Amino acid sequence: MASVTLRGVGKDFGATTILPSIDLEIADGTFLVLVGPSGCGKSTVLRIVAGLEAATRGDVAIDGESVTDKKPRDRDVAMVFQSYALYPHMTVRENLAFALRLRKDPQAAIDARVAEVGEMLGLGALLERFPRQLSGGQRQRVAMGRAIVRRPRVFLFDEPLSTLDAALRGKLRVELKRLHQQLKSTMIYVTHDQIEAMTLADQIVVLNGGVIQQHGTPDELYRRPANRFVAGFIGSPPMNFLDVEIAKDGDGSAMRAPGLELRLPERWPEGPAVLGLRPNDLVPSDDAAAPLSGEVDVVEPIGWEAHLHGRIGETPVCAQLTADVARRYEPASTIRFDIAPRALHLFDRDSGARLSAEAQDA
Amino acid sequence: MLDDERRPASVRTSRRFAFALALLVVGGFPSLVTARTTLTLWHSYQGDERKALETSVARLNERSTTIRVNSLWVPYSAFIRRLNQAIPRGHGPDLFIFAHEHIGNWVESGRLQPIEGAVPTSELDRFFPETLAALRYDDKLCGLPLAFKNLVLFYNRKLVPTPPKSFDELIRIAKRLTRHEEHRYGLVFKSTDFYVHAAFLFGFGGTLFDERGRPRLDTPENVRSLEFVRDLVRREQIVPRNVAGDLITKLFNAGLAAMVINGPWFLGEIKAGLDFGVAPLPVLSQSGRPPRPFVTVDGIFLSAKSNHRAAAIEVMRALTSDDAAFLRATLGKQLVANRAVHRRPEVRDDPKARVFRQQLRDTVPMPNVPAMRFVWEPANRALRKVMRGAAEPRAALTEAQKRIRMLMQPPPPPANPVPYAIVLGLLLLGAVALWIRRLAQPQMRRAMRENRAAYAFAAPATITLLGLLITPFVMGAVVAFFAYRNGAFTFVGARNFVDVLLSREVGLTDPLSFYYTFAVTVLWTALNVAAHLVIGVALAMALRDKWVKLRAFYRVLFILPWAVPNYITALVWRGIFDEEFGSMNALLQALGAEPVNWFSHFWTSFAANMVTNMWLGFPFMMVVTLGALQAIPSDLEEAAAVDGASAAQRFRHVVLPLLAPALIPAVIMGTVWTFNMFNVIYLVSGGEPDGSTEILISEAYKWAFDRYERYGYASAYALLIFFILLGYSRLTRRLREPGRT
Amino acid sequence: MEKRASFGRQALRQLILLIVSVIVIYPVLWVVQTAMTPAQEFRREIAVSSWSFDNFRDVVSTKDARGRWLFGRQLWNSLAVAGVTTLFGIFLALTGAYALSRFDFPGRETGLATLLVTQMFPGVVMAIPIYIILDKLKLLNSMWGLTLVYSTTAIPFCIWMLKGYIDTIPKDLEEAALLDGATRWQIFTRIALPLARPAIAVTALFSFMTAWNEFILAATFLNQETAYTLPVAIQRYVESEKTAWGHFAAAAILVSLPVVALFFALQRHLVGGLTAGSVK
Repeated sequence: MASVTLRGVGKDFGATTILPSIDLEIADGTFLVLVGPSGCGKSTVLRIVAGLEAATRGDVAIDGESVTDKKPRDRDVAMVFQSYALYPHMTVRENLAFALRLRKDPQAAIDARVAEVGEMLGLGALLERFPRQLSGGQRQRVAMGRAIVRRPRVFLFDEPLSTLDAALRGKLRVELKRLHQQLKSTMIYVTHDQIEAMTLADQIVVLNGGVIQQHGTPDELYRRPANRFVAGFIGSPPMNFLDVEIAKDGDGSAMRAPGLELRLPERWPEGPAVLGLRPNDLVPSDDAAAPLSGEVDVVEPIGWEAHLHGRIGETPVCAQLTADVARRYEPASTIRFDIAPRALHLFDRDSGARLSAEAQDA
Repeated sequence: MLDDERRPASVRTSRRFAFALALLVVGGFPSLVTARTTLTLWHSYQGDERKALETSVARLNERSTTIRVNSLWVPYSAFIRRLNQAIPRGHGPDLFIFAHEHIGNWVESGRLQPIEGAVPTSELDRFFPETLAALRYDDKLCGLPLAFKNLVLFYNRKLVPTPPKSFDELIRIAKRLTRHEEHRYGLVFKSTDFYVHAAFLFGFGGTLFDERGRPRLDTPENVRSLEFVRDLVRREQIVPRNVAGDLITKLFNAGLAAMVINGPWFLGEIKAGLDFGVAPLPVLSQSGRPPRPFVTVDGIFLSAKSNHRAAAIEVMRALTSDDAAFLRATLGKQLVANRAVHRRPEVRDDPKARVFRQQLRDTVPMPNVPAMRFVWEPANRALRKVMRGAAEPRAALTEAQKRIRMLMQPPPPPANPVPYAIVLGLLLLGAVALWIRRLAQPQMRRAMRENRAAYAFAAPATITLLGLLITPFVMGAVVAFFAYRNGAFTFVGARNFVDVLLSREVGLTDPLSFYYTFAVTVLWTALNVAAHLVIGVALAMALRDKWVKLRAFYRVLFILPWAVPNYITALVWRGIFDEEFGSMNALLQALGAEPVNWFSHFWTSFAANMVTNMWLGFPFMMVVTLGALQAIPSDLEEAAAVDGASAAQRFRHVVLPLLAPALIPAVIMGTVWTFNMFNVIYLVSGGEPDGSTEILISEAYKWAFDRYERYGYASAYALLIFFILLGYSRLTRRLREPGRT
Repeated sequence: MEKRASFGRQALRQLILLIVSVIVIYPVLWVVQTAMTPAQEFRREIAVSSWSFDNFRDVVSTKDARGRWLFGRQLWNSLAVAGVTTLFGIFLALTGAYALSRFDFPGRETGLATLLVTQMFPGVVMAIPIYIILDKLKLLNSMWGLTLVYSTTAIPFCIWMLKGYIDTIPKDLEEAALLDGATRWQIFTRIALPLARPAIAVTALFSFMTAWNEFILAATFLNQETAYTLPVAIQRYVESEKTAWGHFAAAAILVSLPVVALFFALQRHLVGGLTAGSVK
């Protein structure tokens, strides 16, 4: 069990900078998910922690002790690869025992540990098989087992579920979470899938273009995304964005856009901004004074809920409704929405940074 | 040990003494044995000759208390090369046994020490004077004779009851016995081998050297001898035109050759039970003189680097004693040089030995002067040209003379090495500077540090490659700036390159010119690689589908040519393309076509080489293609099929582009291999006709080893080959990776 | 793809395959016939009237003056030289190929280019310098010198082939092993080596073949007849004036057999081992 600290870690490939500089503090026992679109540098961060790649600058410390110049095998970390990287010429048992054998554990201890982990992951019957004789889910479990056997200080996961089908992915997500609760180890998990991030993480770090966009609990990220990128990345269906103009209106501000007319009691910075609204925060309203009005395009029923796609002004938006409510709206009909003031997210039009109301309630 | 200390001193002393004595006894004997002078003797005798020699050596070792001889059989084909390499570096033998014709060369290059005066004259009387004469070079005796070899007439008694006395008679008999359609011939000999032809040449009073000792071939007598043999072959048609390999033996043993001109070695090849006789060569009716064949003498020679001259001469004398010679004559069936042996009943009563001895009087010692090596190739070339009707004797010999003059040109003058040293120094300095500058870059040093493991992994291969591949190549390349003569190298600068590239001595279209050979090489490479590719890909496609019957069988079978050592297959194909006896012509005749003399025209000779090399080379391409085909997902082709593409279109637009990444490196590799495919050219066509099917590598080899040891010239050739291939690979690399530099 | 071609096309394909088979087999049969023909007899078509193993018997029972069984010793020498060459060759080629495949180090590009370039060295100029170098290394009269030269000859092609194959082994596996605590060397021996087995088999085949068939250098370097390899020994049958074709053919068959057998044993690997790198 260990904490992991990254200080000013950066990576260049030739003249290209992949990671400018990352600072990150991961407390002992945390399940941290690094999430971001592909090519954002999240795997590089993971590999730098593992020691598979050398950082161009900065320092990585595990448990307060710098490991920057240490070889991977001296860092006591384990990694589960996207491809699982099971040794094809070894049986499951040999795969699990490989690391223990390399560090010359006594054979009895190895056997016991392999049996224990096999039991934990339900691999007992598969121990004598070769990887090619296993299904995708079984391979995935072996890959995790290989990491667990060693009792490493830190677990690293590099998109371990991405090659599985959706059903299996959901199942294994739950298993992973249970595993973490059981082992209480520090885990760093890389994915591009925000659902995985939200469901698994104690802490999420959103990465884009090699820069940390936001670091916080899933709840923080969901409720107070630090910028437009995070807001759009976290949450499903994704947040709707409307270009708005904010003007002074008495003590407060007024927000206007085609199909939108809203008075805000607080004072917001004037000028152009982007309004972010989560689909489930759009509440249909029959009140003609409701601030948002648009036109219905398509209704997608998904069992008990439905996604209503429409347009406000020229901007397409999506609203998440219960199926009963959604059924009331015909395509091409007009729909009005009410919004709770808490549900508003405002971002700078240019930088995308989150705007806050000018301090007056403090 | 403790026990020992407690004993009285006297006992200890006596035990020490006994120990010392034992040491002396045990250690003394081997030291006595090694005190004998050990001499090494190389020979290339086989079979009975070898047994006889080794028995004599064993007896000598038994008898002598001071000398021990270790004999080593060295393959004939490697003998001279090995001798020339080993003696100057002190790894050679003290003594060696070989045919005498190279002694001039060996003396001039300091590899052989003459023994003039070391053997009493009285003792020399025991040899036939003809054999001693052959061993003299520059008026010095260079060795002692063991045996002689000359040509005589062999005849099948069933077909020819009494041997002809004159050639007119021989021609009459031979005509009667010749039946071309049954492959029956009256007379068989290698008419295109100058060694054999020399008998006729001297029989007509011809000569090889002018009064100043320079080779001279185009004399009227020489022309007449050539006209005579030409008529035997082409007008009388009693002699097969092309006698290669072991054909003489096969024909004689099958009773298809009535008479044969051959040497004593032939005795061992005639099958048991065949009733044959031996006679001196019949008198040439035109000149009234008998033919006078070359005599070659197997001599025992003393290496210039031997440290045991006295002991070695003792061994030479012992191995040429009458007793040793008697053993070689009876057990080894040799024609020994000792006169007394021929008077002993066992030898005297052998009619065959008598005939050879008789013929010995009418022989000419094979010239042992270095200039002789310039004669062989032009002379053989003239013979081949005449026998296949491509030239008149006079014209052929005039051309041969011209060629000899060209080959005999003195080596280029020494050049001043200073400018070359300066250029080389500057280049090295530049390289080192560049290297240091790169090393000075911090990211370079960092990358090197991070990859320490890589260097460790690469080190073993790098070191061996540097030591045993790159260093020898550089050393060989350096030779290109030197001229070799008589064991010594002189620096001549770029002169060899200039000579090769300007091709001043020969016309551009002469097969000896670099450009002609280069053009042939390019043609050879392009056609072969294309053929390998087409056949390989076609067969792989044919064997691709799982439902093809016997697929596994064919796949295994088609790898066979790759698995058989290629020098063996090359020899086999040489036999298949034999004009009169090869199965290729048999096939043509069965199909109603005229037989082809494959090696007398450029295109047919080239085709024979091509067929051989195609046979050797297609399995590689096939296997590469099979491997690449496995990796092509079938859904791509299925998609194309659904889109309406025909089989040909699918191949052209789907399969071929996907094969390309695997085929391109294979093609480049194949090109390089084919470009340097020495074995096939050397063993199948041998460059015939007249060196026109030679490729660069075989030409370079011939300059170095088969002709006149022009190592510098050959090395310049080889270096040019290397640069051509390097240029080619650069070019293809640019074509393959257009984005890179 | 269609599962079956029309009857006509199938027949045509079988016909072509049959013709190629005949062409492939014919020269081989020629050698067999020559080896089986008792004396040197003139014969034009392939038909062995009286099968005889005399030639084989003569070749196999070759003895020297002291009665030592030369053929046996020379066979053993050939096996030893070829065997050691194979081990050397695999070791050198595998480590070299591994470095070129797995690391991006300064000098890698030069190394790759040099490998191709060495294939262009004309052998003509190399023989004498190799002799001089082995002389300086005091390896001239030993099997080791010969073995080293042979393995060096085979290396460039073997590295080229092995590198292509190792390139296809996922890098993940080695990274996983690295994290599992393996050293570079352990990764090499316990991960890369077992996984490259098909390509190693092919490398072994080529190294073996190089050493098994060579006779020019062997005839120049070895200083004892009991140290000669078989190809040197069979030169005795094709020397100068006397060519004993029957014996040569028999010897040639005996020399070829092990290589042919190896080829067939490894032909499955051959297809995969040779090309894996270039197609994926």
